[in-house]
Amino acid sequence: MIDQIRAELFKLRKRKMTWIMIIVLAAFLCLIFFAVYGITSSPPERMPHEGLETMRNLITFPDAFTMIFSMAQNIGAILLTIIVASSVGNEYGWGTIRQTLIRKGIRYQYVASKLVAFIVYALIVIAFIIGFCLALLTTQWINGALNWDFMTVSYVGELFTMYGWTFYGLLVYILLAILLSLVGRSAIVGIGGTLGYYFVESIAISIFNQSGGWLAEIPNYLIGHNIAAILPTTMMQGPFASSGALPSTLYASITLAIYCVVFLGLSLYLFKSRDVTT
Amino acid sequence: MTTSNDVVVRTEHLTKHYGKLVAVDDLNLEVHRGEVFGFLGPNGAGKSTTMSMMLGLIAPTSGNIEIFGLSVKSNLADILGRIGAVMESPGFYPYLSGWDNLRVFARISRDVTDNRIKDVLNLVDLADRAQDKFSGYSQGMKQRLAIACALLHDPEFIIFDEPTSGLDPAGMKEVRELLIRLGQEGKTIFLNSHLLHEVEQVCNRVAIIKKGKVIASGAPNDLIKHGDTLQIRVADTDKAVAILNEEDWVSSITRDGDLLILKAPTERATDISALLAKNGVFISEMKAREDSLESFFLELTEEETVD
Repeated sequence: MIDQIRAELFKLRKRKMTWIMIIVLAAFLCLIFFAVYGITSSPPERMPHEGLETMRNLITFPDAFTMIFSMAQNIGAILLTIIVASSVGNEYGWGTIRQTLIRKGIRYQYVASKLVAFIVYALIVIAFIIGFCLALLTTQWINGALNWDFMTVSYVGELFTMYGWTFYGLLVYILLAILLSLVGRSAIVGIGGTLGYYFVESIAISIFNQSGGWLAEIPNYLIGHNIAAILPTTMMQGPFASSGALPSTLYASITLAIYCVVFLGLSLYLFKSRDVTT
Repeated sequence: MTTSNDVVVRTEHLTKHYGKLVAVDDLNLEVHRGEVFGFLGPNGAGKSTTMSMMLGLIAPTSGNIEIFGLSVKSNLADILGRIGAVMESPGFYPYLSGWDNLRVFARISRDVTDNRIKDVLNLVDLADRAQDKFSGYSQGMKQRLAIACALLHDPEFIIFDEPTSGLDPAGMKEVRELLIRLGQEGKTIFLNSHLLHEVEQVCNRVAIIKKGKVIASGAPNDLIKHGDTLQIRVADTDKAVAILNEEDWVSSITRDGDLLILKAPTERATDISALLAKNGVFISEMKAREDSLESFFLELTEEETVD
């Protein structure tokens, strides 16, 4: 099993796409950071003071962490979906799945080793986003009076908690991408299905939140709304912000755990029970 | 006499259905230790399905497969550790070099050293191109890498599905020699190839399947009947077929354009000539046909036999 995980990590490391995605991510983070920094440095005349303050807080510690983890969740989900789905789905297209299975044969190990490799990768991606954003923000303040007083032991603990919750949210999308890639035996199905769900769900949540009655309850069962609930100080502040009342952290954690178990269980069942043909 | 230890592969009533289609139908096979076994059949006969079932890629609808005396169903991981397979259209990671591809599979196989990777690359004459990306390989190089990959963990039993596909004549000869050498080293080989003269040269025993069933098996030399095939060329093939079908000693007639392939004793050549001439059908060419595994295979598997 360890050897198989090492083989999966080796493949990820050797693949150009892995690094290209990281570079795209870095470029995107720079773009957002400089856009916000530019606006706060010389704000438009008509910009309301509250709006300017909110933007300034986004790149000012300690509130900047809200944006950082939000980035990790939103952009990370897209990035990881592409990497995960292409890594699983292309094994069918390249025929490498047969080459692998005729060496080991234990199918759950194959899925498990891929999952572990993606978990490691996801943790690295989140760490990269945090590190990169910290570097950007710190550089901005390097000549000013950057006050690190907020960085107490308990705050560091909180940051690790945020890190954990962010990863938990991403895990659901990783598992969904694995499942859909296995169902469709293709990277396109995995990427299209997961990203399609991600965006459609975000829009649907906004619509349901505007409705009343039982329709307004539906978001409580959807992935994105529950992820928004587990992320401290509601991270989902991107274009598809979850505007409605969020469920409790416990409720959201359990709901997401159910999604994880169902996605993983279905993946293992499908992969174990289906024939692997050309 | 064959003992159970000598049997490397045994299939019992092996059956695979895809809906209403029966891909493999009650297949019973035995492959013995040290044999180079040819597995032949027309496209869609169930060869690849059978091989995939042996490797655990496809689950049988019913029946059993035992390899090394172990059930594939319950001991797949142990069995696969002792098997190598070169599948048709071998799959590798296009973004990795040949060397890195082998490293990936070596890691999964365990106990495969870098020296072993070098050895197998040398064996298939790919060492010089080992650092090139797989995506840049020719079909022949891809096939050679697949053979190297199958031999990585020094398996006892090797399945070859069209191993010479995409190779030039020199490459085909090399693979043929490799198969013979592996057989001489005591490896058990299970070979599926469309190149029947190749099979005839390297296999100790063959089985021919059609529509998922074994229709003939044995040593190639035993299967080929010598001296009972005649080839005649006539203008009016319909009339000739009608005349010859009346004779008891003509066991079958197969058309091949204006040629008729007769299964009949060659000493009857004069009788055939006289009989057809008497009925106004004149032979422009007649010769005894040298039988081969290929002709035997075609005779068994071709649909268009004239009754």
